[in-house]
Order: sequence, then C-alpha cells, then structure tokens
Amino acid sequence: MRVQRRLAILAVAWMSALAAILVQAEDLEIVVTRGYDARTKVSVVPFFWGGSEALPEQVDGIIRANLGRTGRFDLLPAREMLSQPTSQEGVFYRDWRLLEQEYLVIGRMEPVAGGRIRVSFSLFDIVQGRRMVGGSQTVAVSQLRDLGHSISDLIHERITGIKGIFSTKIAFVTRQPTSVGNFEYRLQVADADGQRARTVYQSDEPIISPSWSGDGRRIAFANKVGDRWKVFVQELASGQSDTLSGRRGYTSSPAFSPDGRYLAYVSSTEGNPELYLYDFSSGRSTRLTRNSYIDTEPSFSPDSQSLIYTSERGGRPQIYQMDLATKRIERLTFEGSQNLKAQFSSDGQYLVFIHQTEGRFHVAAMDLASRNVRVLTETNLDESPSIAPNGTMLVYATKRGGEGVLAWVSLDGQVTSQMPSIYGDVIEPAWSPYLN
Amino acid sequence: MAKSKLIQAAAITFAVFLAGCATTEDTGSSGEATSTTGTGTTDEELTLDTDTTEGEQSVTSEFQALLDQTIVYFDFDKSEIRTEFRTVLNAHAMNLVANPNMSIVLEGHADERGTREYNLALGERRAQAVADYLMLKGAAASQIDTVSYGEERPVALGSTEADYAENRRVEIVY
Repeated sequence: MRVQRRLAILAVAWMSALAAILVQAEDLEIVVTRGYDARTKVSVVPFFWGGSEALPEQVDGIIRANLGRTGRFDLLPAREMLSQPTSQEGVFYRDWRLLEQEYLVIGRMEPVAGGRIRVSFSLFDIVQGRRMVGGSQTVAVSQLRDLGHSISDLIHERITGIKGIFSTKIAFVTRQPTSVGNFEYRLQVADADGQRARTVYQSDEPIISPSWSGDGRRIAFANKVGDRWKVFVQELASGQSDTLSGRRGYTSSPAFSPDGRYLAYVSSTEGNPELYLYDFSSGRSTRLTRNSYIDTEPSFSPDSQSLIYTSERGGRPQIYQMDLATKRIERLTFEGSQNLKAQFSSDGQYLVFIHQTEGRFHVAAMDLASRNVRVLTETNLDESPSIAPNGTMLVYATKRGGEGVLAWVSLDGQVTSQMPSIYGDVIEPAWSPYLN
Repeated sequence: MAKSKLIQAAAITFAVFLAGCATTEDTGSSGEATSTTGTGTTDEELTLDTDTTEGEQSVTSEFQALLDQTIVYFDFDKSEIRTEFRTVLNAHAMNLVANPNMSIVLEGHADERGTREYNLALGERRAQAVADYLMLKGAAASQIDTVSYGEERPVALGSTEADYAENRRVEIVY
C-alpha cells in the first residue's frame, strides 16, 4: 500500500460554477410522500422582521420545512391562525386550543449594528399553557440558515425527547453526462435538507462510497484513477487529501472506526477483494481476510471493536461480523437471497442493509436481539442506506424514471420522502455524524 | 509483417489446440475448425514453417474472427467462464503466447442490481477469472492487467433481463 499526500486543487472551483445553480433551491426540496397518521400539531407563526430590506432566509420557514419533513408534525398554515403573535404577551393559549394545537413557536428578527441580525424565539406547550424554552442569538445574514437548523434541533428535542438532525450534513455523489459516454462526477456535501450543496471533489471517473469520520471533519471515498481505484481521505476544511492504493486491482469501500484510529477498506491488490485495516498512527495496513470469496463493504460497530461486512463465503452475499481482537467471524443474516452493505445504528441495537427478496432490492433493518428483519422501503434497486445520527431515519439511493434519486425513510418504515435533483443522477448518500 | 507472421504462428498453434480438444469435448463451431486443420496434427508435434496452404489461410481468418470477439458474458452474480466462451478465450491466450510483447487489459463489469461496492468486487472477480483462464492457457501474468468498472459503465441502459445480461461482461482491450 502506498500513501500519497497531495493538495486538492478544486477547493474553490465549486463556488463560481455552482453558486448560480444553487440559488434555485426549491428544486432540491424534499417531498414527503408518506407520513404518520397521528402527527403532533405544531404552529410556527411567521417571525417578525424589523428591518427594511427582505431577508434571503426566513428562519420560521426553515423551521417549518424541517419539522414538516420528518413526517411527525402537522403544521398549521399561517392563514388559519387566529392571531400571529411575535412576543409572549400576544400568546393566548385559548386561541391555539380552539385550533387543537399542541405546540406553538414564535420569534422575532431585528437588525443590529454591523448588518447582523438578532433572532429570538420561544416554544410554548399549549396543552399545559407554559413557555417551554426560548433564546436569542445575533448572527450574520449568511448564518441565518444555520441558526434556523439549530432552533429546529432544539424544538425537535424538546417536543419528542430525541435530538434533532437538522444541523447535520449529507454527502452524496452526482453524475452528469458531459458528452456521449462521458460523465462528470462530483462528491458533494449538503445540509441534511439537501440545500447548500458544495462540491468537495470532482472527477470524470466514477466516485463511490463516501464515508464520514467520527468527528465529521474528514470524508473518505473511492475514485477510479486511470486503471486503478484509489481510496481518498480528504479533510473537508482544507481540501487536503491522502490516498491509499494498491499496485494491482482496486482499492475501495473505506470506513472510519468511530474512535478515529482506523480506516477499514477493501483491496484486490493480492488478487481477490479482501478486507484491510489501515492504522492512522502507524501508517500501516493489516490484511483481515484471506480466502477466494468476495469480502467487501466493511463498517465498524459503535465501539470500534468489530466490523460487519458483506461476504459471499456462504455462496451468496450475506452480512458477517468479525471481532477485531479474536478475528472470530459470525454470520448475521440468513433471510433473503442476498444481504449487502450493512451499517450499525449508533446505539448498536440494529443493522440496516440492502436486502434482496424476490428479485427486488430493498432497504431492511434487523433487530440484533431478536434477529427480526423488517423491509422498510417499497422502492426497488435501493442502494447505500445511511442512518441519521439520532437513529430515527435513514437516507438511501434509489431509481426513479431511470435516474438516481435520494430517498428518506423512518426506521419504522412509516415516513418516506424523496429529493428530486437538478444534477442528473444522485447516488451514494452518506449521513454525517452530529457536527457540534 | 512480423505481426501477421506471429498471428499466423498463433493460428497454427490454435488449430492444433482445437484439433486436440475437438476429440475430447468441443462440438459445433470447433468441429468446423477441425475440418480445416490440414497443416496441423493432433499430436504436440508442431512445425511453424509449413507452407502456406488453403487450409492454413482459412485457419488464420477464422482465428482472426475469434480474436475480433472481445466480450465475454456472465451469469447473474457469477464469475465462472461459460463454456461457450472458451474457444474465444483460447484464441486470445494463443495470441498472447505467440506475442510475448503484447499485453491486454481486462475490463470487468456488472449489472446495476446490488450495491456498487459488491458490483465493483464482482467486476474484478470476472476480470480475474478471465485472466486466470488465459494464464492457464499459457499467457504470462505480466501481459494481463485487470480493471473493474463495477456497475458504473453499462452498455445497455434499460432495466430488463436482456439489458442486464449485456452488462455482465468482461471486455478484452488490446
């Protein structure tokens, strides 16, 4: 294994090229295709704006879109509100009870010195008639979207008890034809709602398998370079990257250990696709499997002590687990003719993976205690499931009208949504860990 | 000129090979080949400097026709070489044996079903299976490189079984 260090030269290339496209943000809006029957009723009143010029971002609009996308909340349209308070004095619980609302969000945005904006908000429990939480922060106009996501996270946590994932990111690969038989591949990182996508790496050869480091600062991925596939480990802030590649065959399928010490990957440099473990501190790789079968798609357990991976050692691809200390191997999946690309939930209680049954490829989840497998999706040709850090949802790639699109599904399979794209094919999504 | 001599030499070797295996297993197209192997013998005795005869010309063009076939197809989730492609691969192996300076790249592909990483592995295994076969027939490891494209470069863009069958392939690139 060779390790090379180089500087990514396209760190700024995206700015000019994409900024224009990304203004058409509504094209990336995620559409909820199915939600819960009994949803929590929430009113988000349009925030007061004390400035004279229109703001590029509406914080209340961001909150409304975030909550709506989860499928857990029923949001009251502003025109149906009996009043639109912007401070606590204007809140009359009786009005909101008449509308059968359970929670209320109000807020204000005011210009302060230096072109900055002071944003304040409050969340009320209508049933109990009390203010639950609130706060204010002064930010630059360019940070309004980040603040909207932070407030959404807080509201989600106070109402459901589960930390929100609106401030997390999703990495994915887009593929656009440039001429007959040629494509441009871009590894992009976007907000969890698909907005503000920026290109972190691009190539005219395929890019696959993006994988986040546990601290969210680095992304590893595989890119075909000439006749070799190489693994790149790129630091997001600087754009600087290291590569791992073999003398022969391909090197791909990187996965960081949650403790940040190792990178598991696959290489066929010695003939057959085998698992390897790269140690960041020593700079050395250790080979983990040695057989004549395909071993691929390694992913760490939350405690970094074991790997789950896809192996066809039993004849068909199934999910296996290897204890890294003892090298003991256990087969985990038995249902379905193929099971591929598994990932642990962050609490380690279940796996999500691609499950082939009756010739179709769906996303499925398996409870590790009961070993019960549940198929979560109704789409076909599903790939690359990636769980949100709070374990409530996962993003995956599927096909619609011959094009790759991203889709979301809740872990109980009840809520689904899709993100149409303006980029052509969108493939290989990977959900970031919590970033703060 | 030198190259056509080499192809001719490979063709003769190939004719001998076909004659040899026709008696054991192959039928059909290889049977046709045996009928034109006037210059070859079924023994391992081989003379490369025989006169150019009608039969030899015919073997050379048939050999070239086999070399023109550069795609080998595979069954779903399989990397075993199907028997119908052995004749074509035998020709390519002979060609490499006769031309030690010649090298090829075997490009392995998979259909879109399954995950990208698994298909990358499958494409690699298919290319490797073809490489192993060619080496078994005498080609040198140094003459062969493999590269997998996984499911990333389909030739048929549809999602029917026929499209998938066309995409599960190894392309031999000289």
